[in-house]
Amino acid sequence: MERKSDRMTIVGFLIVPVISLILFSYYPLFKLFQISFTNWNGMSTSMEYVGFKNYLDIFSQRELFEVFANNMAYVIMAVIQQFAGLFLAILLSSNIKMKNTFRAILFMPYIINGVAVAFMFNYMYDFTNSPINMVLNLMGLKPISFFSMSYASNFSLAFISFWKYVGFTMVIYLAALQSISHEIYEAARVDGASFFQTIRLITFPNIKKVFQISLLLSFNGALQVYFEPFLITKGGPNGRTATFITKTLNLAFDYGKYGKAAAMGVVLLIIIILITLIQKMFLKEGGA
Amino acid sequence: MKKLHTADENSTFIINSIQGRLSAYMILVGGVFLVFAPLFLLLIVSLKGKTEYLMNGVYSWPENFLNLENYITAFIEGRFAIGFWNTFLLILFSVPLALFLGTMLAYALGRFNFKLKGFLFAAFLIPTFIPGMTVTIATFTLIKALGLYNTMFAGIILYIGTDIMQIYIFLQFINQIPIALDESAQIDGASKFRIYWSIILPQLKPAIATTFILKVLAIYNDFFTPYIYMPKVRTAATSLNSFAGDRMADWPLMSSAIIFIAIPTILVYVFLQKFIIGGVTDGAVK
Amino acid sequence: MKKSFALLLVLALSMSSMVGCGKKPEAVKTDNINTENKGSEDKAPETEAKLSGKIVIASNRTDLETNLKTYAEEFMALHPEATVEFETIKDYETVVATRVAGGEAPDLFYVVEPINSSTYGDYFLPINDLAFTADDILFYENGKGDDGNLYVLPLTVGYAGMIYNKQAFKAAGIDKVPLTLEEFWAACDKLAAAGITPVGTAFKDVWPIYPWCGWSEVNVAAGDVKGQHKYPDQDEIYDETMLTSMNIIRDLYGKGYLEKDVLSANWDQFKLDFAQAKTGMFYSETWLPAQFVELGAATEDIGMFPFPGSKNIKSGAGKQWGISKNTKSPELAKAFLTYMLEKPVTAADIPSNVNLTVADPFVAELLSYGVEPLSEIKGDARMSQIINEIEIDGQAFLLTYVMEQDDEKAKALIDAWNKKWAAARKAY
Repeated sequence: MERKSDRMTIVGFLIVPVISLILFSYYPLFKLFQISFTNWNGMSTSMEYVGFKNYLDIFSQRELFEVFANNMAYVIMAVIQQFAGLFLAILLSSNIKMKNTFRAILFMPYIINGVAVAFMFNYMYDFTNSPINMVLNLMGLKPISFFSMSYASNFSLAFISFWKYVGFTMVIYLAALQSISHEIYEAARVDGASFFQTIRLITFPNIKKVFQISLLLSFNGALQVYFEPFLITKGGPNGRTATFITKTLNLAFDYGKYGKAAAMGVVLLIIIILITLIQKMFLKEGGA
Repeated sequence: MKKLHTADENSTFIINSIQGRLSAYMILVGGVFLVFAPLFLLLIVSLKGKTEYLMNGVYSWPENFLNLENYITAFIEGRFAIGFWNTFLLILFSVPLALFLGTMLAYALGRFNFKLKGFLFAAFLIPTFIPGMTVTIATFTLIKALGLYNTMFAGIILYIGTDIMQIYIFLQFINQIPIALDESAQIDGASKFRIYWSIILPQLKPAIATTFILKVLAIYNDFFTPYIYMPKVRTAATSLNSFAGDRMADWPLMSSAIIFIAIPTILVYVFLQKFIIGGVTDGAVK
Repeated sequence: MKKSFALLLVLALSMSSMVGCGKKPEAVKTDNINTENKGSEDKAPETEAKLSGKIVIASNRTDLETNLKTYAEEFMALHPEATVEFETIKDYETVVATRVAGGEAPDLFYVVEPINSSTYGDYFLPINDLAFTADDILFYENGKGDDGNLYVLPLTVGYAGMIYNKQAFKAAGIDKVPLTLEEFWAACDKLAAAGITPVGTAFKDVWPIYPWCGWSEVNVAAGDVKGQHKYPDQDEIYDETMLTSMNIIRDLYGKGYLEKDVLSANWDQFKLDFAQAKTGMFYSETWLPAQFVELGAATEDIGMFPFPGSKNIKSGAGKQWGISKNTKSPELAKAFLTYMLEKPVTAADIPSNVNLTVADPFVAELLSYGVEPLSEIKGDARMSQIINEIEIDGQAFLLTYVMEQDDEKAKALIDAWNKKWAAARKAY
């Protein structure tokens, strides 16, 4: 009936969020693309357009693949995190006691300040002061060098996010599990299905969608990880723990190559979109 | 039929064997240990004096459990009072605004049908996939152009931005409110804003409470926004980072600083645990 | 059309926001400021006019926060209408570079990447009219941009040398500081035998090992006054001179004479260990010894000697400070820079101002062994430009090189950089 005033209301309700969306989400994105085609050094008021030079540079260098290899440690951890979270969720959906207490404690790391967590693990990982190494010393074992030149350093860092987020993953699966109707399980049990059989035959198929979403979120996080290396190792030793994002910041701030850094951002964006699309495709296939 | 353990409301799975249940407990207790062990060690270390730590190391009870010296030193040297105050102000100003805008947006998206609805929805969804770090410089120039750099408004305006998770939570609730309520109000001559204010908003209370807590936690825990856009405005998280600067080897002192940055959210969590877990699940799954 | 009202609105908004934040307005603004500055320079002679306004000085010394505050207050007591504020920043290079990029430079800051002498004028105000000449301030000439204007000046100078803990030497039975490489290795053997880490690195923080691999440091110590500036004219970025220095630390690692786990050896822990005589030597500069004293070591227990076997002691400018060209209070900024040049912030620094006398025991000892100090000639911007072009981080590379104990593989690493260097330098 009163369509005109409706439209005004809609505009009135939407205007501020939309402006802020454009200004703080889309404008920087546009700017990112623009800078990626220039040689801007991050400071000067002028920049020249250099075409695809930055992109060609990125793909002609080995480092890009090296940082990706480092990011893979986080991706692997993210996958492990899915299974660990799901497993814990299953345990917490079974006939044990103190479920709520367990759930509350395991979820707790998620709400602790990330800077505090990073510095806490920096202590745990310190070679000479590490409480872990002190125990190893007492047992007559060799202390662990958590940050070495080996690839394992990335897992030391990736474990920090595992510690922080596994409870979160667990809680998501808990909710998904609770949304599956009890009757199916009852029926399966009546048919004599074992604990592991019910999981394989009923649980897995029913939580597929949540699994994929959760995995996507974790992938997303794993590819964008910067916090732990940024605060603890600064990407060192010699780039061993550099991730896509720390490398990008490095290019911009240490070498003044904002153009190339922006191009890295665009590449990452495209990769993330591709992964999302691929997952969507699988989701469709699976869901049909 | 074999005798089964009776399934209570929450038990989807039944572990029959005692060994099975025992191993379940062991795994869960192991998880609890992993969560608490590092925090517990920090707590112990934070109560030790410098020499005491050098002499006795990590694994001994502190000589004096009430030795708060490190906490006091850290609190003063790290200027954490300003940090906490600024964080408080950021929360005070941005969370209500964010909730106001978020609920309005959800109301518009949930109650009206218009051509661009799908488009708008997508428009709000897409930025979740933008790697935030990479657009830092662009955002920075923008903040600067708006004259907000190094002021608290930089944080406030960036925190106000409505995120998709919040919209989802609100939308779910709005969809559950019977449209008949809106219609009867409309017949009584209420304006759309009036409907939003006196019908929708009160119904959204639980959702608002949840997102309120989640937003507060997010702002308290955020490091990057203040670090880049307002380095002069010390927040709790950035205070810890600058405090760590050249005290990395003084573990008793560092531990106490880490602990009192961690404590506020843990306290909030202890009391509002159900809300927080519920909110996180609502946002992520549905 | 009406239906797409919202879309149009969105478009219009995005257009205006893009235009509003494009680079054109910025350029205009910079021009304005330029003319303003010129005006003020012309009409403001060096009179003791009342200073007013507010400036912010960005310092990287988070450890001196309270000292800096007092220092600023002392200045403000002299100039009650002026406000001077220190801001201490932990990740100085990153934070300041970002802020300069956003046009929000602090009023006073020191040179960070990627600023170099060819671009000084883009960021700094010319300070030719400061009341100092090359006779007053060491390394005065180095502060000039390629356009001939003076833009930056160092507040401090430093001498590079081996810092050692005399208690550690005593415990190891070393009675004479090692001045040749043979003596150095013998001293290391003794220290190691006494259970003391012979040489510290703080490798986890990477930057502390800069004297081992800095092109300036290594070449000047080897007696080459051209320092790093010889490299743009030669094909090898890692030549004999560089490898000699880098191989010493690599051999130290091979023999287990560095920290037990070098990769987790962090700066703060290293300083504590050194102050407590758990580490014997550390190659650095004169700004450092005072910090060990602060950590509890006795002044007389810390000493410095020239790097064993080196021809010269490298002397050089500290951080190069300049005034942002966007400052709103150029006169106050100049006055404060002058003040800092005349009154060192801490007694631990060796001032660049030759009119100030210092009695630094560490410098005195360092210079007492008969090795002459030498400083690098002023070069051009090419070195830093090519370094940025090939994205080489000399310190991070030293770490890789040291850890690679296979000679063949280590040589391959060196060859790879030399090849890149040779190719890249042609364009400059």
